[in-house]
Amino acid sequence: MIMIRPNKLLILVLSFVLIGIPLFAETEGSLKLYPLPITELEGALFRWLTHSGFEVRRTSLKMGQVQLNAVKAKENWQIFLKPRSPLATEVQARYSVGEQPDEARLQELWGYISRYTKGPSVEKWDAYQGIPTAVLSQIESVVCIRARAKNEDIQLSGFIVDQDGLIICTAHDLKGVRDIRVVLYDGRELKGHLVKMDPRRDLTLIDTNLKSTTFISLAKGRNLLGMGERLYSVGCPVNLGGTVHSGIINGPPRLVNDLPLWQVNMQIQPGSSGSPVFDAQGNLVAIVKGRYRGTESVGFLIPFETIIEFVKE
Amino acid sequence: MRLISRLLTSVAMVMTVIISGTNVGYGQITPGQTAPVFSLKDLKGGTHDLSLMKDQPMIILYFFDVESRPSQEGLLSLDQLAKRYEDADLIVWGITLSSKKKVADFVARTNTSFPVLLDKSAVSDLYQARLILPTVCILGPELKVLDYFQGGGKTTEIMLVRLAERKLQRKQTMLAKAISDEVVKKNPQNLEARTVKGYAALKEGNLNEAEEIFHNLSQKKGPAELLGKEGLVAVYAQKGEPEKALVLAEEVEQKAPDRGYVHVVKGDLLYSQNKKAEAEAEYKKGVQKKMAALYQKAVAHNQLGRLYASMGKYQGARELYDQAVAIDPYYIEATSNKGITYEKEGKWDKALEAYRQALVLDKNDTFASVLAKKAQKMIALQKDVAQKKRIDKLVKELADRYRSQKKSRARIKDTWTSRPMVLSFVDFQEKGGLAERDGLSMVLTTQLADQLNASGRVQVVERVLIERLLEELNLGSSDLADPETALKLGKVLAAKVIGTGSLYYLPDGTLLSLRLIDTETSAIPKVVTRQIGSRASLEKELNRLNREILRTIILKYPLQGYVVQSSGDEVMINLGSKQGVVLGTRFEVLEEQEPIKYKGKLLRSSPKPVAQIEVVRVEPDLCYARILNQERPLKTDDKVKEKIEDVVAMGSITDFVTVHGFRGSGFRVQG
Repeated sequence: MIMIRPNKLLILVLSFVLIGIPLFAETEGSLKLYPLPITELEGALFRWLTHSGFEVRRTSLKMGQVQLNAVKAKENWQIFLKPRSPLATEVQARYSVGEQPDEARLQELWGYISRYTKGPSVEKWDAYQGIPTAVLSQIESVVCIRARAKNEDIQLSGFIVDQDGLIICTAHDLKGVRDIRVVLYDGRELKGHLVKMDPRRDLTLIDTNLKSTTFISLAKGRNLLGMGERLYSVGCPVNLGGTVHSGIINGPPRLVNDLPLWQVNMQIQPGSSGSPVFDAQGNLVAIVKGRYRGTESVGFLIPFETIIEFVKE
Repeated sequence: MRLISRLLTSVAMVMTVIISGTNVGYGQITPGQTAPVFSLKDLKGGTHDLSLMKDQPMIILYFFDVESRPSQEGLLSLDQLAKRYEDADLIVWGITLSSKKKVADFVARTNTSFPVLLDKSAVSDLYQARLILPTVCILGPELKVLDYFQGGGKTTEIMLVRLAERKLQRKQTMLAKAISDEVVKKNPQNLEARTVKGYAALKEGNLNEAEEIFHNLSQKKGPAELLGKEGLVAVYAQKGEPEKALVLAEEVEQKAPDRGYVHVVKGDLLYSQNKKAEAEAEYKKGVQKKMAALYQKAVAHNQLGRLYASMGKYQGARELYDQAVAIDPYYIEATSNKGITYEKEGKWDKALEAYRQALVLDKNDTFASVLAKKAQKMIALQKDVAQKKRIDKLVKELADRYRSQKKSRARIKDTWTSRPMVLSFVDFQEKGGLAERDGLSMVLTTQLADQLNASGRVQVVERVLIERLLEELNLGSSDLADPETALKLGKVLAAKVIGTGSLYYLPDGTLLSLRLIDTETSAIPKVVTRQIGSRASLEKELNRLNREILRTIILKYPLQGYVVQSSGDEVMINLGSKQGVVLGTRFEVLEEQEPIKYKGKLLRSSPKPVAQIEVVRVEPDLCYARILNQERPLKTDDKVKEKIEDVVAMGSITDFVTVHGFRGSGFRVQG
């Protein structure tokens, strides 16, 4: 028979009382997980509560857990935060006026956190700045290129450079391809013929029978780009024609096979290769070569000077 | 009897005011002096005590007569603005000698949102506001008189324009624009109001709006043309069109040699082109020339001060910052810049004083609060002899190790188990233009270090240690631009990863490029480039950077360890809080696969996950995890590897999840 001495029994009972009692019993659905570090979420909640006139008391619990108690007259918030990895936090909350819980206010809290979580990011701020009209006006000259190589379907981007329908794009996907199809901005599909290919420069010239009034003039290109300059690529990644991505030159030009390449922080997806890249004034400055393996946002651009060398040769 | 008692009350009130007034009698009220304090009652008997308003950044005392329409005009304009912009932070006290009944009628008629205080005579006399009404006194921080106006009509217009300028200084651009509009509505010819609106739009980053305002002004003749063109110079500079800006600047200079602000913009452009001597000459002209609005003069002083500070001329810089703050008491940039000059000289108490002043201007300013916290730490450290000794000793050891390039670590037998993830920041290189505010690199690295440390997953090397080590090794910021030096430094600090990069000041914001570099392999696991726009919140940006760094660390350097023992549905792991385990950390239990022999070659395949576990208790050297699922019973020496949940790994902050299936079982505090 197990004998428990009275003081041990007391400790045991107290342990159950202190540790075992749920903080918020019967609170179906009021536990949520957010992909935010606990300190960030705590800071956001603290500001939200104090801004609403609450006096907030913070209690540090074991192992990084935090409890916030906020009081304003008869209103009372109890919010419990528990880390779920360094990058995520579980939140449990209860709100009451007097002793009466109020589900609507709880929804306000979840609403606030999800707005915060989705909050205006830098990208959205950038988007607010808008894509320059000079760039948008070039969209109609951008084409999607499709081809068959061995057993594989290939898709990349390109752009019309003269009124006779000559198209420039990258070369790395086009070795040994047949059946080149060019899809125009308005959905028309044309047959393309390889005119010239330069694997070293990674550039190709394709001819179509198109008579086009819209094209991107090589006479209006620009060569010298500055670090930090904002650029815009227009292409058809994953077959989505007319997709504009903006980015910033974030590295000095690199020499690869004795040819310069610009490094950009720009979203580059499969099919982006061959997209023309413009500055904010709509001048052609480069063509998308590809992305750094394993990332979607570190890209490389073939500068305008290489395009000119390729065309002249 | 009643007459005597009224007389006595009046005398008592006058005495109170004279006694409580700070060194002010009945003399002229002049900008720069401290306003005499007083206490008056409103219609409902509520007491309004000016001495309690010291912490307010701005308060307007408006002396008027309720029966004189011209004397109320300005007050009613302000009232309308306050009602329209609830967040305007516009504190106005109407003060009148009119009778209580007449004031009651006025309040009922106008429904003013400001308190109207009943004066018997003493306060109006003290502010020289008996004969000419309205008299308006704008008070700044610490109750300093900023502006003093007497008379209605034209003076009210001037008062409103000045108020708009003050709001622009406080970066309350929306209100600055609204007040300017109010003035222009009544007097479309008011050029100052239009100009303030243009600069407010520019400060907001609304370049098109600013350009339109200045363009319209520039099409007119006379002073309007010059004000417009000067504004356009600033717009083009911010748009990143320096050639256009410089050409127009020349034109303004020729037509109006006394205008100052155009030189400040030129100075900024030349500095960003690395023409520092030319930039200095332009800033000096900007400081000397008389024709400029107050907010423009203040910027001129600040920029010259920044240039001096960058050359190590701290005393000269401080004098300029002081002048800038004297011109614009709301200039938080110049106030905290002064603190940084003290910091660079190791005068931490004076630095802290400056940061506290900046916090009076805006208590939510992330910049000043981070700098103040750091200064406090340094002051505490200077007093803590034992801690100072520890750091001195450590710095000496590290400096020796750096010079001799000895490896710091002994060989470890257990190569699988993770060691603590130590990260060290090296200050960012600052490039491009001359930022209005000094110390961004310091604020970024200090704040990121705090956030990363708070996560429990990463330990960041103390900044003071790095600073002292650099001092000991006589390494400057230009030496750290060399990645080899930064790497060597990281290694002696026993950091697995160093965080470094550059801040590129562009006309419309700052470009931050942060690189994490592995000190053992020199690989770069992460490059983050962010544009910190002038309108974006620094705090939010820091939070985002913190998340990205943490995500990279977890993905590239997952915690690895072993199952020490297993019992029932719980296992003990040989990793604890020292190694970066926090509650809720998830691990996969891995099982090595037998290599396959094929044509004489051994083909190894990746270890197979056989269970998932989640940490429920953490101790310094170990943790306990509950088993979420398992393919086989877990045993001692099973390998575990940290696994990030998909929703978090994707970094998609656009998603959040509700924990499904959570039903009323309550939530237990982990004891």
